[in-house]
Amino acid sequence: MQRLFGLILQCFVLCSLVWIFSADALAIPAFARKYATSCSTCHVAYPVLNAFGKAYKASGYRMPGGEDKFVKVPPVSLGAPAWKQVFPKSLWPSDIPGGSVAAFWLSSQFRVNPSATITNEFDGLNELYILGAGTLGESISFFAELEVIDGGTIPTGFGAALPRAFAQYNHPSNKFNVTGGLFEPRAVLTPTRLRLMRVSDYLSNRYGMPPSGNSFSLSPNQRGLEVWGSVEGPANKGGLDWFAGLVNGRDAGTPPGAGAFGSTVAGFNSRLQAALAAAGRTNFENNSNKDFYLGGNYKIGGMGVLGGGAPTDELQQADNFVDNSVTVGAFYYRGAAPTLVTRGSREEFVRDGNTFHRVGAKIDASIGKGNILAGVQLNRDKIENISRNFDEIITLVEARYVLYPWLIPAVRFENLNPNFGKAFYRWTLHSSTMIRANVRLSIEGVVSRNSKTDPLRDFRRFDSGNDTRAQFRLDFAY
Amino acid sequence: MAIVSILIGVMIEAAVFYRGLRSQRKKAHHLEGLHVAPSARDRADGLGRRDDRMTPMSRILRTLLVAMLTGACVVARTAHSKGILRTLLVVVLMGAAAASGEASGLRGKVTCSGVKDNSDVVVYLDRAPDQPVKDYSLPTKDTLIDQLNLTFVPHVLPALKGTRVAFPNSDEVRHSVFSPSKTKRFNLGTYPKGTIKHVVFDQPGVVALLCNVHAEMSAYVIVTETPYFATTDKQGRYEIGNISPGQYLLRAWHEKLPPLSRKVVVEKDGFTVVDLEMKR
Repeated sequence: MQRLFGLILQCFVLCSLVWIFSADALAIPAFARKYATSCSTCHVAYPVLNAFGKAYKASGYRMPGGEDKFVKVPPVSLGAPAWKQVFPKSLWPSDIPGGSVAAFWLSSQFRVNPSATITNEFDGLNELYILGAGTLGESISFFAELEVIDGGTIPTGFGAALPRAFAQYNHPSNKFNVTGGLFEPRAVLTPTRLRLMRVSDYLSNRYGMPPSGNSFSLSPNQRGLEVWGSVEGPANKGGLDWFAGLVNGRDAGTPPGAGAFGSTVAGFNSRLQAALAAAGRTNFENNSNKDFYLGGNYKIGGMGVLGGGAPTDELQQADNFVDNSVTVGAFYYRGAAPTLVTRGSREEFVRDGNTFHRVGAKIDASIGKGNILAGVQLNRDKIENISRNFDEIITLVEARYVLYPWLIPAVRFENLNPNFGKAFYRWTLHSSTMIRANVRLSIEGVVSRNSKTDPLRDFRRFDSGNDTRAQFRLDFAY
Repeated sequence: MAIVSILIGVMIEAAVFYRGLRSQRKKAHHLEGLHVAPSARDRADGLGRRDDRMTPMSRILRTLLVAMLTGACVVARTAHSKGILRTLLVVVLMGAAAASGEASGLRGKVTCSGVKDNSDVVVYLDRAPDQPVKDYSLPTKDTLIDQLNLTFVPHVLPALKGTRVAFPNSDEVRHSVFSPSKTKRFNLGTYPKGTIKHVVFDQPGVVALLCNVHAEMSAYVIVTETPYFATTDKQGRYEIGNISPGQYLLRAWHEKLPPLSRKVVVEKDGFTVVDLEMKR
């Protein structure tokens, strides 16, 4: 009874916090301030983008039909456009945002995990992100994210504290664009950064290959260059998105779950980490090979990928989550990772001894207020001098339904089937309540077929374990 | 009677002229004797537009018309004979015919997508490819682009080929007007408040204006082959009057949108309505 009372009290406190925060939620993020518009113009429930938000992003963080009509905070001119006629005898004209480009994203969580030592806990401030984004002139834009607090702690590493920082060039047609810096590659089934279910990340984006010691994951970021573009389909509906990238690849240490595959895999990973440390690892790259990827998505029906069919006179605030369309997509990623290679009787550290591939395909359908995403991804690692491949097949199905614009339930199913261990699946149930356009209260539960031998038991880095549990979360952006 | 009529007509013409001059002085009271290009709002109010485009012959005709109508009214007050009434009828019919001749022109609305509003579109007529080159009378006064509050006023100016444009500096700071455009390259150098410099725009085309001191300042002069042009108001409305009937090439220009052109035929009587849509 005392425990139940405690839970009720904690829920009351959490709800009070929601009320207090939402009552004072006057400020809105950078883009909303620039256009004096609501988050719902671009988001179903932030950070999930609606069709218009995707078109806005594809247009280089600019209004698809043209900026001038909607900008409420005019930029500061660094030269009138006519200065282009003077170039190269002058600087190319540009501008900088007229208002602040900074925005903040805070979250607080309350966890309930019956199998944990501490069955329930508040984490106070789980995340504090500072987001900076804007446009510079007609073609350049930028986006940066600084994680002041992540997972309830202050990040110590450079990569953890600054997960995204990129500049972007958009050709006026938006058919050929370039992104450079630190960014989340488009070669994923669905982006980690834009997911609705904040508690658990996608296995397809995050899971490594324990037997090869490969901690590579497609998300959350890569350093390098990405070229991409969009072309609208017939009658300005749907269209093609294409992308290709050249990046460093990632080294995130021991792959999650490595400890669950027995002493052989655990020992291999320990020796690999020791060899990496002895050979000298850097924060930016672990070998001289560059990873590359390419892919594309084709959207049939719905709003054009560059905003075709969107209202040009005013920004739509209501029912903009409806976009009847089907998108099919695929990607291929090839990389090289350090590993231990057996040559003769010796085990040698080779910086690019593991050639790995990631191939994914998806179908994403929006029908009325509902959306369903289904995807499959093959992860394959091939170590030099070993005849076998290490494979994982990951399947993903995620569905959401906008019951009301402020109430969005969702469900996700994931299955990971490796050729070196036991298959695993998990369900994630979720409901988002938009208390305000910029305040979201979500309840999320993870139900997993878990055991002490399951490889995902050690997959704690990003979601604090996968035991069956529930989580209340408050997100607040301004 | 005829002398009285003409005198009254001249007085009315003078009053019309003074009204136009006063509205210009409101815009630049310190620049006496200069012709101020009407803003979009002025044009919407009907100030200065038709007068600006009238040739000297049109002005004389209008003065005579006003005089005749005025005389007819005076006569009508004292007339009792059929002959005088017939005369009055003839005069009125002549006036109506003259008025309908002046109303020949183009009007319409330009809708722009992707820009702030529908203003600052220059709609103008060019000679059709198969039509001979004509000479048109130039404005008798300089057209003006002022430099006020670190902006060029107006931001876009249509001007007939050969028009002389004055560039006064009305700011407390110095400006340096120049154009990098091939149509008309020039550099007026840096000059202080009170100074007025002039440029004759002798080739048709678009001329961008910049200030070498203030990089954010810009303006455009659209030099046309004919005196038939207008600049749209915020609603995108335009009206070009007093057009000689015939075939023309109608063009629309906006600094951020691709230009448009289409053939039009201007009828002898009445206004032809042409709506345009400009988009990226």
